[in-house]
Amino acid sequence: MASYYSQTRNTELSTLKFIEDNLAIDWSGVNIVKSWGQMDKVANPVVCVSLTDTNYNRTELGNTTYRNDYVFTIDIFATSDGMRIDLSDWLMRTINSGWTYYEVSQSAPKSRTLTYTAAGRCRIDSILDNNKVELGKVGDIKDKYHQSIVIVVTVGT
Amino acid sequence: MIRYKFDSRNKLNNFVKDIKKEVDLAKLKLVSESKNMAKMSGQWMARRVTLKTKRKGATGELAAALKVNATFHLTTRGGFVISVGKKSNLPIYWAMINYGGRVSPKFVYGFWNDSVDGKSDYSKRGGQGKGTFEASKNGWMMTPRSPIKGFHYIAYAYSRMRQYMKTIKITKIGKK
Repeated sequence: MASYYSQTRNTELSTLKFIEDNLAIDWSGVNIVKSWGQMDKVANPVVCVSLTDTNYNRTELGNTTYRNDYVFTIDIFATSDGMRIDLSDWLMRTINSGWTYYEVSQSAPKSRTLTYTAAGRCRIDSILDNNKVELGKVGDIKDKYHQSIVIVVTVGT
Repeated sequence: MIRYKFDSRNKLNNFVKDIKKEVDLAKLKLVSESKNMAKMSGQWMARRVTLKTKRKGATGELAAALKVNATFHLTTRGGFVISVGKKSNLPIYWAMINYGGRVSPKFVYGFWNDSVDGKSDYSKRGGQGKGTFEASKNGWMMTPRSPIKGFHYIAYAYSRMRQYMKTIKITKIGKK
């Protein structure tokens, strides 16, 4: 029996798939991960995309359904300052017009094969942060070219 | 032919005075509102830091500093900016906790102070202790292994404030 993921998980996977697919076309040798733990296991340059928060908003007054906001943090660890700027600029331009929202399902509970079915569109609601991270003396050399991007994403038709 | 006659004896002066009073009141309200918003932003950030802190015995220095130093400003485009305050008023690790990162790989001497019965516990080496890290020459040689995951407390406070601002607008329209 197939199992279906929640909208939150679908949004995370759809976003990851979109960035991963486009990275493979436009860049070479850039790793992509979805958790901080995985990030440390791969070498720079690496892009870490993770869904950090979900805000539950009412669709309208008196309505019991939610229109969620998804807060994504995208951390870019580049190998040079120029690459950090280029990669973050490329990313912002790529995600600017939105991407396909997929409903993701598994054919069996333990199956690793995921089925993606297009079911809407993810759009950027706002960009909360897009800055170079300056950690000062406490930071490591690997964090020297670190860019942090925080975006709010909504899902619609 | 209909003619309108305007009598401006003192009335125009009063009108200007009233407008001025209104503007002054609005300005006063904005400052007080900004202070309230700053306080709320600081509380959101502190709450995030406190909830995400796993090790017991944390000093709470960052959370306390955020509550006091947070500022809130409305922008001309109708948005707002949340700031954590001056760097001099914050602990040096504020950015590391917000954005995450790797600490310098050089080893340090220290231990995880579980502080059993108020006494420092030197026996817990490496990741065995659950208390706060304490640098000490009598401690163990410790090398940080895992990167610190960012709490993103600024972005969290910003997204919560966005939600709050939407609520304010609805309330104001409702009152009218």
